[in-house]
Order: sequence, then C-alpha cells, then structure tokens
Amino acid sequence: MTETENKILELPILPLRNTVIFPSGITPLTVGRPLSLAAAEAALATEEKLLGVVAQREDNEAEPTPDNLYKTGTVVVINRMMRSPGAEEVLHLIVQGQERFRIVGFTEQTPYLKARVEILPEPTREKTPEVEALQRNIQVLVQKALSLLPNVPPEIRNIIVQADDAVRLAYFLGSVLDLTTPQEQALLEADTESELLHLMHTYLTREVEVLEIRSKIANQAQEELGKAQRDYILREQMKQIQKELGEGESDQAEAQLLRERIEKAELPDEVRAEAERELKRLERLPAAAPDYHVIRTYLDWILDLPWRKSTEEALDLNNAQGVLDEDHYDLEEIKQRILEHLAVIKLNPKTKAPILCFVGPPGVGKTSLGQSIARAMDRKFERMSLGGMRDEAELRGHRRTYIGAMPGRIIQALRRASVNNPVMMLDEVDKLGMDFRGDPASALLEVLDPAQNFSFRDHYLDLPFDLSKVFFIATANTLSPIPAALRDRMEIIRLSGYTEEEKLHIAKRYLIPRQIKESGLTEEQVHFTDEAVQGIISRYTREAGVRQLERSLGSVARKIALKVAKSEGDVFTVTDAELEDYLGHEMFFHEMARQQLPAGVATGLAVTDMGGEVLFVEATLLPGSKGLTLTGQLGDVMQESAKAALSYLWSHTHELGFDCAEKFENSAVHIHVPAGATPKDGPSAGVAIVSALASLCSGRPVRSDTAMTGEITLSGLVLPVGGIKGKVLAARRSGMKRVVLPKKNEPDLKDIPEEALRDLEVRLVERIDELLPQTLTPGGDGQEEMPIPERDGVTAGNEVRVESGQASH
Amino acid sequence: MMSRSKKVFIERISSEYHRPSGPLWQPAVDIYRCPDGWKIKFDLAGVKPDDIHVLISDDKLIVRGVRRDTVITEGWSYHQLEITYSRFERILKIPGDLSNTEIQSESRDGWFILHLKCA
Repeated sequence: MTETENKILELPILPLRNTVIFPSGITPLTVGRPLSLAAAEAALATEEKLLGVVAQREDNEAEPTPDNLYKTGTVVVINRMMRSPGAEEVLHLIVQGQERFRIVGFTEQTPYLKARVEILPEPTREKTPEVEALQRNIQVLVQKALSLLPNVPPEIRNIIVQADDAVRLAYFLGSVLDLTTPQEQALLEADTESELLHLMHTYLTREVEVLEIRSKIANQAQEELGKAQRDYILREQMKQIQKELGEGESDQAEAQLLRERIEKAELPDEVRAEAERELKRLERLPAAAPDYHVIRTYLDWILDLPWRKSTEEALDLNNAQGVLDEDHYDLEEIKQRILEHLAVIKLNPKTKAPILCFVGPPGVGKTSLGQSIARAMDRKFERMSLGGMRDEAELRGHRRTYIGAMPGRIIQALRRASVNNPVMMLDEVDKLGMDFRGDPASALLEVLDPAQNFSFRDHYLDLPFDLSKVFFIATANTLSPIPAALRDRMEIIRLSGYTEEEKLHIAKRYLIPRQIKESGLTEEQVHFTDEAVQGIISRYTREAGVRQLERSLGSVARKIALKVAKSEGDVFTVTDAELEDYLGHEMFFHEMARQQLPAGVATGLAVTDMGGEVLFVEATLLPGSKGLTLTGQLGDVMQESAKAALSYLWSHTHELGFDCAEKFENSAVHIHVPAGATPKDGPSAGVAIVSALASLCSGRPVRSDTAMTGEITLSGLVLPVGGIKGKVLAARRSGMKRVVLPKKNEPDLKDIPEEALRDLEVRLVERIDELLPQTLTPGGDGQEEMPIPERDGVTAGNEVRVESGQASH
Repeated sequence: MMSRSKKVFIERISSEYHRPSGPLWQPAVDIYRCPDGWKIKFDLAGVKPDDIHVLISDDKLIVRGVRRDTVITEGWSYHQLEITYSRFERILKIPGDLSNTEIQSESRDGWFILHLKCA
C-alpha cells in the first residue's frame, strides 16, 4: 500500500537551508524557524511521522515562500526528536530520507507549508554499457578521492567500498561531497540512473581535480617550508661554528661597509664595475677563506687611491717664484723652466705635466729642488729612490695571483699622496739595476711617456690609472747609465757643481742658519767670517755640492755649542785662522798650481762626480829604450788619446820647430797621471798630454799658470769636451790664471758665473798648432810667445777677457 | 499456496525482489529452530497485524509494513521521540527450500511471530 507509483500525499513541508536530503542515509537537523517548527510539530502529530523536506533557492531567506523552494524534495521519516535542554523552541531531529517527491501544489502556507506531493519512483536502473562504465569510473574516482583525503573514517570507507548499488552510492556521495545546493538539487532531480551517474561523475572528477591541486599545493608549501627551514638551520649552525672559531658575525657588516664606501668613492666607471664585481665575490666567501683577505685588501687599495682627487694648482707665478728663490740660490734655468710650466698650466689646465730629469753631482740640491717645486706649485711631494731597484715588479706590482702581492711603488706613492697630481721624484734613475727579474728601466718607459701614462696599468690593480697629471722629476748623477729610450722621454736639466762663490752664498743663506739652529744656538751667538767659510769650502771639502760643507759647518757649530754649554763664552766669531781648531788639519788639498813646472809636465782638467778637478800629466823620456808606457790607471780612451798625441807630434815634427821624431826614435816615452790610485778615462786630457810631450821634446816647460782641456785628433784638431763649467771652476780654485779650451766649447762659458771668470784668462783654440804657443813657455831665444796665425778676424791668442757682464771676445 | 491467520497478508512471490524506494527501518529479529521447522520472532510492538505484509520466495522471507502512532491525540505535542514509525522492511534468508512450507502468523505481547512448517 505504501508502494504505489505516483502516489499523491499531503505532507508538511520543511524548507532546508544549504543542503539537500537524499533518499538514503540519516541526517540530523536543527529546527528553529517558526515555519519549520510548525511543520515539524505537524509531522510529529501524524501516525507515520512523515515530513517533506525541500531545499530553499536562497539560503538567507528567513520566511521562504513556495516560490522560493525547489519543486523536488524528499520524504523523510523522523526517527528521533528531542528538544534543546535550554531552549524549548529549538528541535533536534534525526531524519531518514525515504523517497523523492515533486510538489503538486501547496495547500496551506500558515502556520506551516503544506503541500500535495507526488511520490517519484527511484531512478530507473539501466543495465547499459554506459551505466556500467560510469559506475566503474565513479568507483575509480572515489578511490582516488579517498587516497587524497587524509582523514576519512574507516566506516565511510567501508560503506563506499561495499556499496553494491550505484544509485545509493551516488546519493551517499552527494551528501558527503562538498557540493553546492543547486548541484545537490540536480542530483536529486535526476530521474534515470545514467543521468544521476553522469552528474556524479562530473562532480567527482572536479572534486578529485581540486583535491589533487590542493594536495599539490600543500606538498609544495611543505617542500618550500622544508627548504627554508633547512637553510635556516644550516645558517644558524654556520653562525655557531663561526662564533666558535672566533670569526664573529662581522663579515656581512664588513661587506656592507665596503659597499657603502664604494658608493661614496669617486671611482671611474670601469673601476667601480670591477670593485662591485669583487665585492660580490667577497660576499659569497666566508671570512676564513684565503681569498677573502686578498679581495678585501684589493678593495681597500682601490678605495684608497686618488682616482679623481687632485690638489688645486697654486697658479700665482709671483708666489712660485718667491718660493723657488727662497729655497735655492741661483739655478736660474731650472726656476725659469718651472715658471714656464706653471704659466702654461694657467693658460691650458689640460696640458700634460712635464717629465724633468735633473742631472748633476751629489749635493747640488736636486732632491730639495723637487721639494721646492712641489711647494711652489702647492702640490704634494712624493719621493722614491730607484737606486738599486732590480725588479720590474717593484715598480709595477705583482699580479694578484701571488701570495702577498702588492701594487708597485708608483701606485703606493700615489696612495700616500692621496691626490693624483703630486710632484713625484724618481731619485737616482741612473742607479737602476737590471737582472733576470726584469728591467725596471723599461717599466719606467711606460710611466714616463705622456702618450701612455694616462692609462698606467699596475699588475696588482689591473686597472688603468691616469698618471698624466703627475709631475715626474727624475734625478741622476750621470746620464750615461740611463738607457737611451728612457733618456729620450725626459727633459734633461743639468745642475753642475756650485762655484765657491755660490757655495759661500748658499752657506750664508741656508747652511749656516740651519746648522746654528740645529745646534741649539742663535745667530747672535755665532758668526762665520766669509774667509772662514771660504776656507772650509776650499780646504775642508772637495765636492760639487754642499753636503760636506754643511757637515763641516755643523761640526763647527757643535763645537761652539759645547763651549756655550760650558759657559766659556757667549758670542763667537769663526775666522779662517781658527778653522784648524775647529776642524783639525785641512782635509784636502787640491792640486794647486805648481809654482814651476819642469819640462814634460802639463796641467790638465778633469771632471768627476765630485765636480771638476785639476790633474797633472807627466811625461818623461827613457833613452835607450822604445815604446810608450802609460801609468796612473788610465782608461782605454785616455790611452788612445796618449797614443794619438805621440803620433801627432812625431808626424808633425817638422812644423813644430823642435825635433820630436829623433827623441821618440831613440827613447821610450812614459806618461804618468797622478793621483795614481784614481781611475781616469776620457779623451779630454788630449791637449794636456800633447802639451806635456811637446814640452818634453822642446825642453820648454808648460806654463804653470795655465790649465787645459780638449780632445785631439791626429790631424791636429782640438775637439770640444764636456764639463767645462766644472773644469773652469776647478782651474780657478787651483789658482790658475789661464785656461785653454777648445774653440767649440765657447758657448759653455755662458754657464759659468761671471765672478768665476773674473781673474781668469780663457784661451780658445781650434788646432794643436794654436794650442802649443799658448801652453808652452817661450823658448830660450827670448821670444815672448810663439807667433800665432791670425784667423777669422779673431785676435791673436783668441783671448777672452771677461771684465764684467757676458763673456765676450 | 496461501495461508492466512489473524489478517496477516502473506504472499508468495517469485524470487525476483522489488526493492522499495528509499531505505526503511528494520525491526529486530530472533530466529528459532524447532522440530517441525522455524519460528521467527519480530520486535514489532505497536504494529497492527493488518499493517504487516509477509512475502515469501524460494529462499527469502520478507516482512514489511508500517508502524503508526495511534497514541497521539489532538492537542498533544511531542517532548521526545525515540520510536521509529512509518514503513519497515526485513529480508531474511532461511536455510532450506521454502517453497512447500506452511506459514502461520501470531501476534503476542507486542511480538509478531511467524511459524514456518517444513513439510
């Protein structure tokens, strides 16, 4: 009787929010809305406790009207009912779905909805292959879903696995799955098994997809979390390890600090890029790595170098002149050169700095001149001594691959100067060594070439540094050891020795005040007479410069300081006579003009590192023997020069007026040049040798007041030689009255201070036959001097008598 | 072959079973073996014999029916409900052939008892 198809019933209708009840399973319901309460009460009052439940279309409708309800619902039987302990007006029901129905029409709407419903049959079972396939697929999908859901109770698992009826399983899944109300309603409204299973299949597929994605996301999240956690733990461990090793946590801070410094530093683009690249490497390294400190030091070097920092040029020419004059006496040519350069810089700031090379004997003020140039230009002064440097790497640095590599001296000096335009003095370039480690002179070529040095590459830095603003000054004592290529790059400025007058000035202006001060005395307490200073210069020193002079002055000053300290007096005047008390016996005595020269002795002039010097050439005949003996440590050139002299005289014996040939035929000749222990070389003694030999042959002594220098040739020419200034000064110092020089050396006389020439008679000769009358004393025939042929309108004897002003003739 | 006692409707059906639409509640059952066959006792208190329907096929015994609340009266309302009403169904498999059995039914003290006499 209950099992009638399309049976019509009249049932109280309970609107459901958010859910659909399927004709299977047991569902708990809580009823609180008045409409629903009334419907539930009405159902309970019937014999069979049947209730129709229909889903609401709008969940938030509190008082749903028939229009708001789906038309298809489920007949449920109320299995259990109880009232809430606190609130009587809330019912808790447990209902079991029985059959589907379709609402035919509502019969009542108050106090509850009541409708006539037509009971719908169960979806018709079909045994088609399609249904079969859908069933199996659903089973597979369900298994998949179960494997993806972590916490499915085993009861549900069993129900699903053991379900033998596809429709029941679909209804069950519909209530279990997280479906929307319209989806659930569609399941409920399905009239055939295939329709129902199709819907279920769609829902399940989607559900499984969602589950899969969810599980993937969850896995990923877990994976990411796992990795982050792992990194964190490892980092923490590393920190602990570093702490244990006492390395602290400063690396990151250090890298950060370096980064800030790089940002602030004024670096050229290329340098900045390199610095940043190195910094990145540094950040990746632990502080304990050996490379860490290499990179760290390298970055420090980059940051410390004055890539763009310059000192402002002081372009006040008058001030510069003042500074130069204040520091150095005379040296007009050099001062002029500096001032010219300053003037050029003033007009064209982009001009390249000159590269000067001061050549001169020690103590003439080459180094201090560099300092005053820096002072005059208001630039920093950096000095490096190249003496004895043998390794190219010392100049240009070692590559960073070597342990303990450092930049070269040039870059180091620039860091010290901390500006890129210092005056840089390369001292003693003539004393550069050279061996298998390389040739530092060649490395200097790049440094000193204005065409290349704007991008000087130090091996260590391996970045181009602009050296073109650096004012390079090289110094050397002699030019000859300097390789030609290097010499060619520099502007050579010669500083020859000072004259005694100059020394006197220097002593009075600089040395004496300085030494008095250093001895703790005042200028009022000590006074040097000019004669005393000259005495020191001539008898206690022998030098082109003034170092020995300064030491001697210092020594005198100290002895006076001792007396002052012992209260033996207050004011002291040092006179020439007292010098022996202060300085002991005279240290040197120059080869002074000999009062009377025997035949065969001539006074020559030589130049040494210490300045000019007088030397004597002695010749003697050894009758009964043959040949030429040369003694006195003569070099090859000088020996050849002696041979040339002998040959000239021998071959020209008829023109000379005395017979050389006969003497040379019958006797050997011995030439000796004292001081025998000092090696001597060079061609400039030629005229002295020829004079000595001529004197020997003629028996006429060489004039004792005449000194001479010059190279000779076999054809009788007198060729020019170097060091004229030093030689002339030496001649004067030795008390000579006359000097015979090659005619071609005439321009050199301009270099000689006028006071040095004052009491000196200078004779210029072009040929040996002009020379001999000037050097030999008149013969016994009473002839004053040998006749000299007139030539080129030059007065006989080519005498140059300097009265005042420029040398003239 | 049909027997009736006390208005209980007993029907012999073919072995093909017609499933009811929707799940129904199942009364508890005791089954006894006795010398002449089977006695089957259903816990069906409050069910009128008229409302019980017994179906029998070759190997199955099906008891279905409706329990109605005949106590409730106009003006009462429920405070608590624990007894399940409405339709029920119980399908039993009894060993042996049921085709020639004689079935008698009896209602006693709220039990519904079926007596299956095997020939």
